[in-house]
Amino acid sequence: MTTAAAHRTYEVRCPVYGFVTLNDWEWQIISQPAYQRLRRIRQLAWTDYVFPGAMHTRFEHSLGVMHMATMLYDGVVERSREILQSELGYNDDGLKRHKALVRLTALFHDIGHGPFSHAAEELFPFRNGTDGERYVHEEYSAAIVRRYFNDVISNHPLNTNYGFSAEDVANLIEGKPEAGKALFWRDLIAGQLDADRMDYLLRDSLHCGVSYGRYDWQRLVHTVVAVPPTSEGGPRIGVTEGGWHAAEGLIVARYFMFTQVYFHKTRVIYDHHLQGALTDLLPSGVFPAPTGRHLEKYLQWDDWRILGLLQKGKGHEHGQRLASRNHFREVIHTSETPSASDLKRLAEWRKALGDLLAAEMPAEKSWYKAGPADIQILVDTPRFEVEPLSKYSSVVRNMEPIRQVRLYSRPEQRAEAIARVANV
Amino acid sequence: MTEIHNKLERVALIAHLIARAPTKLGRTALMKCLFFLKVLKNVPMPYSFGLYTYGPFDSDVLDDLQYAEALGAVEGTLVKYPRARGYEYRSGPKLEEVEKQATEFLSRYQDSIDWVLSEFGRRSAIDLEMASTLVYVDRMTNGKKARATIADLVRKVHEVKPHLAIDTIETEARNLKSKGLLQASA
Repeated sequence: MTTAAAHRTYEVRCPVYGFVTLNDWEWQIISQPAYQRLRRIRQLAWTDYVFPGAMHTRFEHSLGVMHMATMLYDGVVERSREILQSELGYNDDGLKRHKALVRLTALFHDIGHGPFSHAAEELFPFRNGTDGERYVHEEYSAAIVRRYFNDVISNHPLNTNYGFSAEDVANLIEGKPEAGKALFWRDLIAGQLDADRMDYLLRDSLHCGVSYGRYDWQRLVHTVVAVPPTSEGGPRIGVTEGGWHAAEGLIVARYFMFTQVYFHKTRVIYDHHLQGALTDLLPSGVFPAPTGRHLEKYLQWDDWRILGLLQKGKGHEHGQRLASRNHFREVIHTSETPSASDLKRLAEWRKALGDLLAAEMPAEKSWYKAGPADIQILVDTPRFEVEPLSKYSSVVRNMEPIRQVRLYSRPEQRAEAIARVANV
Repeated sequence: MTEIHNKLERVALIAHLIARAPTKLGRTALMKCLFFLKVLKNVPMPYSFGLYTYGPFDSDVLDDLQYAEALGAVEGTLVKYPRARGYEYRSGPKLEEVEKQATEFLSRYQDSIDWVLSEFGRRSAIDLEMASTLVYVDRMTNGKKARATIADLVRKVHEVKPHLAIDTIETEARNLKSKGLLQASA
């Protein structure tokens, strides 16, 4: 490759930010078949059955996360260079090096997603046979990076001064100790103030045609800082006091997107139907593991393949419901944060419904948590102080975690199901 | 072993830890005590701890803590530390009601709960971050073929937490090793 070609940059149109810029190294990475697969994985699964515009993909989101992570990284460095030097031992070269690493990690963070994104994760196999914990998509991402991207990461001319291997990227994705001090930046990939969440709220909101996920991201980018270590903990990412309203806006956006989109009663039941169909479509009812020869087979699964199987009438009852948009119907739901007595009543509803209870969807099992993320605020005093956002924001202080549970019946049995719970 | 997926069992465990702790627990202490219970005592719980510069962390713990607060099983108070503010927790009026939902689980793991509080319940947040990071790195490193030494472990933890002095990490590693909590060889 000529020097000119290696230093070429590429601009990709983005509906959220206008343009996302990639260097040739990143361009070669996203051109690999295992990366292009993300174009065939929808970001929000079957959400378009409720919000027809939600047809965007993990490919688009992944570019956006890299863009957002870069803006946050630059913001932290601009405002916190002294802390990064004194507490984490960074010099200018180290900061430049880890910026490249953070961009690559953001670019790869979702490459392990299965068909229809998070909805498929209930069908990931268990790590130890049949019980215990299931693999998570980060483990698939790390395994795919190690197996399929080492050459393109290691051997591009732009890597000459960095010397990264696929292992460096995979270690940061998985949070391995071998990532060393680069783990500080993991907050930007998978933390309370991360580029993943900041991007998907904006992007999902835009494509769904709602305003719930909007917040003042520009203000966050201009107030994000490295919070120095105190007696209460090690260094982490936070915002300056001037950014607390924007941080509050982010948390409120999460709450609204969760209640209005991600945990929408119809949207969420299609996750159940997909899982039911996949149980039938997948050999042994689960995806191949992210190990050995299974990984290649895993990469052959994408939305297109599932849709093709559904079009052939496969997937049993759930497949037919997906194909004909004939979902289970909600019968009743608890309050957003059920009390102990609400949970007792839930048990009575289940009992009363008996065999009419076709599905139960609890909010706490959703990937998209609306939890009370308490972001650290760096107060601008002669001797800095670190305080939780909830000290400033009565909204955040009084937010309760969403633990709503929705109960469903088959459409043709809904009237009888409603009658049964009405007597409880 | 049955994993506690029941939401009230998880909340009850958190409330129970807070009620029995020798001092008021903050968020960091609670997070790390749950991590120790899972990793060192094999108490089955669905938390998935990831490594950060501030040690093992899973935001689901904070979500459950906040649910415990919403149910009235615990109450949080904002307190001042040197150069920082944070929350400390004490029992709430509905503690017993919530604990009753998990009587069997709590009694099955009571010895482990007592152990973790006795071993770590009085330690500072910064100490707990260091100890839990050592345990996390130890378990990840010794899951591989090559067995690490304490010196390897100290070096790795220092790379993750360069703001800590290496001899401070080494002292903590030797302390944990003497109690049989690390697998790394001396």
